Amino acid sequence: MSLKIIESSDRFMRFSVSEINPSIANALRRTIMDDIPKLAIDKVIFHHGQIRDNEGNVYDSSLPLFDEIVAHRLALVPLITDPKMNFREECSCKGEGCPLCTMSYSINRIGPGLVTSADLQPLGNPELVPSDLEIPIVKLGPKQAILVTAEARMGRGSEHAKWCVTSGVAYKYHREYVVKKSEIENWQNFKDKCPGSVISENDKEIRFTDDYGCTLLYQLLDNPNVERFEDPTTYIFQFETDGSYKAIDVLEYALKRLPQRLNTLLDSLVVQD
Amino acid sequence: MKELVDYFFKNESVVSHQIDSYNNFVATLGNPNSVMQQIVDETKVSDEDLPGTIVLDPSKVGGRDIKVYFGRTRDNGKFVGEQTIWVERPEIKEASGASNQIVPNEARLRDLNYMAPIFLKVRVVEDGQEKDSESIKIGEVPVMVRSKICTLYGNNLDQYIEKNNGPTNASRKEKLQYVGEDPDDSGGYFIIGGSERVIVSLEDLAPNKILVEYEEKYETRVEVAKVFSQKSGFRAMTALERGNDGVINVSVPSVAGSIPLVILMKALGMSKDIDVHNSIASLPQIEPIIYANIEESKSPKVFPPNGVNTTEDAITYLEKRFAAGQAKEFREKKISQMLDRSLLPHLGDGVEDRLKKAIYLGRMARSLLELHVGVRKEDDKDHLANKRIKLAGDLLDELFRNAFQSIMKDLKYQLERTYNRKKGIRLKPAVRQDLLTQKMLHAMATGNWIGGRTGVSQLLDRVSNVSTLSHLRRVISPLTRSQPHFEARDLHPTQWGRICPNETPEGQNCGLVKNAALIINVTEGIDPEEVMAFLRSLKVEEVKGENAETGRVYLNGDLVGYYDDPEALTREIREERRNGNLSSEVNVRYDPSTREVIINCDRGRLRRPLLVTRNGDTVITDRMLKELEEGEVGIEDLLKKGAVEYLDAEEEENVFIAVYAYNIPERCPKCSEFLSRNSVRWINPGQGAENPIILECGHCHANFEVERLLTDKHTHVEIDPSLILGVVASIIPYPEHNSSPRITMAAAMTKQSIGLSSTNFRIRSDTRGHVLHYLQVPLVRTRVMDFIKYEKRPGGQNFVVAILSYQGYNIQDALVFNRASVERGLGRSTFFRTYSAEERRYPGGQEDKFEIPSHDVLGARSEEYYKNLDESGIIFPESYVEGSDVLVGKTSPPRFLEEGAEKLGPQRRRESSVTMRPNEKGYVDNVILTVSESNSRVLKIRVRSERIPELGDKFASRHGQKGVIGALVPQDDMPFTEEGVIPDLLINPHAIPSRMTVGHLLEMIGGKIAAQQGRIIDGTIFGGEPEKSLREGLVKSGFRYSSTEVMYDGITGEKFKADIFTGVIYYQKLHHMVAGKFHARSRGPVQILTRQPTEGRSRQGGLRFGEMERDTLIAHGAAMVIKDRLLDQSDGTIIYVCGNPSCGHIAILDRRKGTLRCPVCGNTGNIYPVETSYAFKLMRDELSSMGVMMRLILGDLK
Repeated sequence: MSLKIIESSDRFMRFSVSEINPSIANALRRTIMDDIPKLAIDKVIFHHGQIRDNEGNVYDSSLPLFDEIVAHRLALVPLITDPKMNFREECSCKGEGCPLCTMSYSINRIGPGLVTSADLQPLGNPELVPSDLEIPIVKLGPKQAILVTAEARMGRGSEHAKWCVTSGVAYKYHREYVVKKSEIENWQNFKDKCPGSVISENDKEIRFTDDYGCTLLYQLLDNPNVERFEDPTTYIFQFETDGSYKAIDVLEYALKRLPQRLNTLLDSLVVQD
Repeated sequence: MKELVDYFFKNESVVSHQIDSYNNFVATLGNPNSVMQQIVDETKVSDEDLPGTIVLDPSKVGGRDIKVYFGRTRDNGKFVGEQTIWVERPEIKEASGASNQIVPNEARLRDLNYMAPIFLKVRVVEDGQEKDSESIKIGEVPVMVRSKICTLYGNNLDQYIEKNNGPTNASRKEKLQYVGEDPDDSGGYFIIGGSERVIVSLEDLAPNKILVEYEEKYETRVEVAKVFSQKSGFRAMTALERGNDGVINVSVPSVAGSIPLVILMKALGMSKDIDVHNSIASLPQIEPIIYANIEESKSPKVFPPNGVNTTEDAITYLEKRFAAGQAKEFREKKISQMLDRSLLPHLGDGVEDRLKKAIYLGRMARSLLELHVGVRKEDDKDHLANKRIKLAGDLLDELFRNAFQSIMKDLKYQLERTYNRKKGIRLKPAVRQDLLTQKMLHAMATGNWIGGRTGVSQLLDRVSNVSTLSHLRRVISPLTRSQPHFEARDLHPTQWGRICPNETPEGQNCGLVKNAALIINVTEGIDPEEVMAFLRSLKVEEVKGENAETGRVYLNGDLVGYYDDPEALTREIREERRNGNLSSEVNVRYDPSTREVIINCDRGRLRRPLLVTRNGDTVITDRMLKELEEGEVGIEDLLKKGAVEYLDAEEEENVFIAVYAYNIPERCPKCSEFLSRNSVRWINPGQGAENPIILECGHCHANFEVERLLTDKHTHVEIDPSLILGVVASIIPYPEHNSSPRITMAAAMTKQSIGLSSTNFRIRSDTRGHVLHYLQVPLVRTRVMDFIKYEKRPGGQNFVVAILSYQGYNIQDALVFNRASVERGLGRSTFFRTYSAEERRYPGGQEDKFEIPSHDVLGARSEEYYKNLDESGIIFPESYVEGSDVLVGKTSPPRFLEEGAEKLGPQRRRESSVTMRPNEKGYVDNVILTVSESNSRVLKIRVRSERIPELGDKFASRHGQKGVIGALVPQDDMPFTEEGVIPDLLINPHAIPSRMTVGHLLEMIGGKIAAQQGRIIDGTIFGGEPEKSLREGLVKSGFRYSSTEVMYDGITGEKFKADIFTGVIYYQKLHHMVAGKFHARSRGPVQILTRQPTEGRSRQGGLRFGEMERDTLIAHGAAMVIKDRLLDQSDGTIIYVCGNPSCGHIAILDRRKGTLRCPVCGNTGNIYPVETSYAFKLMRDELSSMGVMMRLILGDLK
């Protein structure tokens, strides 16, 4: 088994893994998808009643959106996460909630105006802010204000989608195409639109040694005149993150996490005599 | 002709037919010819009085001659007097006595009636001396929201806002929002007791029209000629029937049996046989039948002693038959009642109108005989030309006519009763306003109209915005649901462009409940005299006798004259109408087979607009269209120029309509983009047929020529064929690719979809309501959405859908949802329920009180239940409530005040708090405290609960593809594409082939490229983006032509062998959700009477173990299970039976002493417990109350 990173940025990654089979590839995919711990808001406390600003003006705590919608929107805001934080149930506080496992935030805004994720003020580690600061939460009308405290805790995507770090997680079998110039009229078109690194050409045919980054080739998939080779032992993975972690960190964690879980399985196996 | 359609919707509301009809009805200052005023003018208080006048009985008013005039004065049949009735602005009379103008939302929130006062100007003439006229309030009339007397209408709103110190400088939209209204609400409904009610339009057979048809009677076929004669609210059917012996009999309404035609005609004053003959005869074949009929009437055998020869004979015959043995005076009255009132009332009710009726009967007989000899065909009852639509105004007309009549009758009675010699008559206190108001109100509130019709007014459907609009445009047929009426349910060709072909319910109301097409016009009716004057100017000969040779001219079903060249006359009338010299309300048809010219100008004809063509080109020009767009001219101007006209179903029989004026090439010859009907513009209409049609491409704006389909044979061209659909069916994209029943189903489901029903939902107090959280505009839309503002009030979300089976969880239309999508907010909605409470007042000065009930209140709960209430007993907003939590603490006075206080101890107040429904929960959203009309406090508490899609919730696309959630699958188990796209929804491939919803697939493709290319796809019927263009778009966006994709199984990780069809499609969440339906019971309440478990979820009822279920257990021989279900788990009771063989009554268990005793025979020893159902004991008791004594004789089991 070998892993090769093809493309990598803060929030996106594409890599290939070879000499594995679909179940292993899928296990890695599923780990990346929803087995990465992450911070997400899990409890929102709204202040109901009058809200006063510094000058003593009175605002109404009624929002244009229902409280449960606002809470839901807050929960989905991706937060930059400290991976060293504990799961609450594994924490030394025994599930009570402490700075080791819980991160608190507050929003205090008066209307009119748009409340965004930037208004989510961390109470504690100042680095753990939303990874995107322009996510709209709710639009306040005149004489409206929002005063909210929120608690975030660590969780995994398998529990709720708000703890999903990644999106667009997919892999595909490695695929090669051999296009005979005599059979496919617009071969030039395919050649032009695909990265040169995957093309090898001679007089009669073009060989595309891979099809990632070249969606045009998909049209050849059901063309009987194109020879196609699919390799179910080599996989090209891709995923992006919501910014709570860097993509590379996600991959590293996932690669560590997978054997961990397999070991847990192994440990819990009861061998018959 | 997009410009024209745009204009229609920009300037007219979708429900303008309702509002126009009401505006025409309601009397306002400056509208002297309103329907209300006409009713007032025509109202006769008694048979003797002239219309519009009350003559007091001199014997009751001290011998004086007092006349009260309330109608307009007339001169030569024309009204010349001043308007006597008018309606002011809607207002409410508070308990304090002050009257305040109100806006609709105040009426909704305070459970008020949105009604306006009616004033009547009355003149009194005493002994020939005219007194000052008086304006009296005679009652109130319900106000249609957005009609011209509504507070929201135009200037009324500005005045209201100024009076109430509102924002006078705000825009109209802001002003509407200020008064709590949704700016885009259509109006067209009424508010009665705080709830919105619609008067649904009624489709009825056209009155005063002779219809001939065959009827099955005693297994023989007889010919019948019928006419529903209608005159100012009074309606009666007269029918002519040709029996097997050839004798024509007339059945007169409210008279038993039938009368021979010839005798009736003679009784009406047509004494000469030759006149009778001439008024019937038209063709040589029917002569013998006429002779036979005349001969028959002369036969002394049939009509002794001498047969019927003269008018006197005929009247004597009638008297003998219908008033035998009564005094002469009586007989005469009876016969004149019959001839003048019951028979053909539309021709008049005087002795002078009798001859007219005889001629009319002759005409009916002619039609009947023409049918008999086969010259005429049976009339088509389902033809829209033979139908009239009754809108809100017409139905209110009936109601008001009745109510006004009774109030004026009452006024006469009151004036005579309260007459005082010294003070004379006093009008104001004599008018019983309540009588009129209550009559109108009662009919509006219950839907029980006069004439025994029910369901005329209905509660407005506010599930979604389209369902509201559809409800306001509904047309129902009064035919009974139980009878088959197959023909009446069929789609009739004349419904094209008038009635939506698809939107109708399935089941017993199929085809009887219909909906209007997009652009319709219902005629208001004009004075036929106007048309008559016009006809006279065209030298139409007056009717003198029957003249079979020339063309006959009919106006509103009456024969009004002859014309030698009827076809030319028809042309002339049309020409003059198009020149604006004749009202556009007039429609005319020429029937070449009978040489008849049929002119109509009456009310209720359903019409549709068409473009007029002349010599192979439209009359409308690009210039006119431009002026229309810029607002320089209106539709009325186009009507006057003869460019556009409204045709009724009658006139449409005479025309030749081109559906399209031209064909379009597949691709633009310049930019080679795919073209659709909606993406080209005809830039040179009306430039003459010799010029080729030039189109402008919507993509590159280049011009090109196309072939002309219009020929000089065409008389009209459709404005746009997509206008044949109604508002709901127009929401569906690509319906022309679907099978028709699926469109019908889709239309029915769209009306159940939840979205944003109105923008003021947070300040409304509907008892139930839904809002979808993340509303989306459909990616594949139709042009009609602009007109009904669908994109401002959408009803669904765009789902990423893959068509594949999944682990059996989407078998049989189940849906597999991506759980992560749901967790991210897909398909979430909020459900509202409003609870209301009122501090009611009771007779005797007692009243309810909102408070936390103290311990000494009868039935008070423990403190725990009142913890969410504040000190006034009202719940805090945003508190969480569930189960049977108390929302308002309320106490009521003791029930029976007078009953002996000393016996039962001090009278205690009762607890009567309003609690949550037992199986609902949520947060208190809003608490509104206001006062009712009677000044008691009214509380409305709205509770909201979030509805996250769960197993069993119902969703549907816009193609009749519905399903319930069968599984919520974690996203890692879902199939995924190579790009990492995980569908929101998996539907089963078997849902497609047999249902042939190709539109569903096209919408999926359309949505896919819309999402990828960032543009909205047009899927309008007949004019949407063509399939080829969509497929090409797929390829351009990097997808495959087939829209399939390589997918991998999320569970095994393996690639699927087949490629999966995927796309993006608009799904609607329907309001049938599990949260509102699930139900189970172990123990629970029982009915008081029978002690059996209650029924229904709302009463925590049991689940019925019915007969068929019982049968299964019998088949199994499971006797103990049956006993358990039917007795132990139901109403099993132990009764004590007296074992005395001569007694057998039920014994009494004295619990204190612990003894058993038979109250009948006094037996105390020989008493046995018997287990039986309580229903049996109940039957025993009921029988004994009837005097039947059931004895239970006990014995041992053998």
